[in-house]
Amino acid sequence: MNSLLLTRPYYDPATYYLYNWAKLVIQLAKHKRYRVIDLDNKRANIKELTDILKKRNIDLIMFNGHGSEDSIFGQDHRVIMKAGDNDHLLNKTTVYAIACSAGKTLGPSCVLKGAFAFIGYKNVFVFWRKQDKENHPLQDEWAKLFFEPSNQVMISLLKGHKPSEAHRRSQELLAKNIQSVLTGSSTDSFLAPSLIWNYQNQVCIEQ
Amino acid sequence: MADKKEEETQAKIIELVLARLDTLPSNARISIGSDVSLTKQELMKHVKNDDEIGKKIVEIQLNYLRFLKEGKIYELPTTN
Repeated sequence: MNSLLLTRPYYDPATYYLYNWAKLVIQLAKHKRYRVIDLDNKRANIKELTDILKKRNIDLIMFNGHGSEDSIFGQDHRVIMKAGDNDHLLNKTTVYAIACSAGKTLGPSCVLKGAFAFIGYKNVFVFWRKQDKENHPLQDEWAKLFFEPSNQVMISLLKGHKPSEAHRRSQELLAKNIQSVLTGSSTDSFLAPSLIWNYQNQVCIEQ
Repeated sequence: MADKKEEETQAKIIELVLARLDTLPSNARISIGSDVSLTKQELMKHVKNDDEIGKKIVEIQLNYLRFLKEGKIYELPTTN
């Protein structure tokens, strides 16, 4: 049975959005009969992550959370994965990190240490949301334009596509959304700079 | 002389970015990096302060304008 590990901290509005949008990935994974290990909220900590990565064979990992060039954070902004510290634990996994900038240093580092692939962002990940939808992230039409392409990475990986194909399909959806906001209602065109930013900064690093 | 010109250019860039941000809807919130939730007014304040977040906002806006100027919009992949 294939396995998917997710980290889903939830302690501020941004992580609340990631937490909710990742639910759709979990639903699909279960439908595809993946064993799903969901480290949510307080479980998104370095001890639980390390224990699982050491004891079990994990095929796919989705990190949701804040990040930096060499780290990914879990609950309460604590480091759970860091280049040069514990990224060797990503050996033989395929990783998608929706965490700012982790694609710059952590991504290449973990692939050098044996991860099959790392898809992530080499700069900050940006998204917009509507104030009146902040308690209902999945109903937020602005956020949808950012998170549907992001989720597309995992959808493709869960369907068995190669990481490069998952990256391509995500980019395609981002491009569609960019064109949509630029040619559609002028009230949404302000989203374009951020969509383009994410499009240009998403990276796929493979062995 | 060169420094003064650079300062003037930077001031014009900030003015441009502020003008663009001023058109944002009042109910818009952005997550950029590890910052929690920024309103339109907070974004503009960061740009005026020329702090780390302000610099990133300016970078994103200038990147967009370059993207358009270089015609990269026409190079975006299309859905098959």
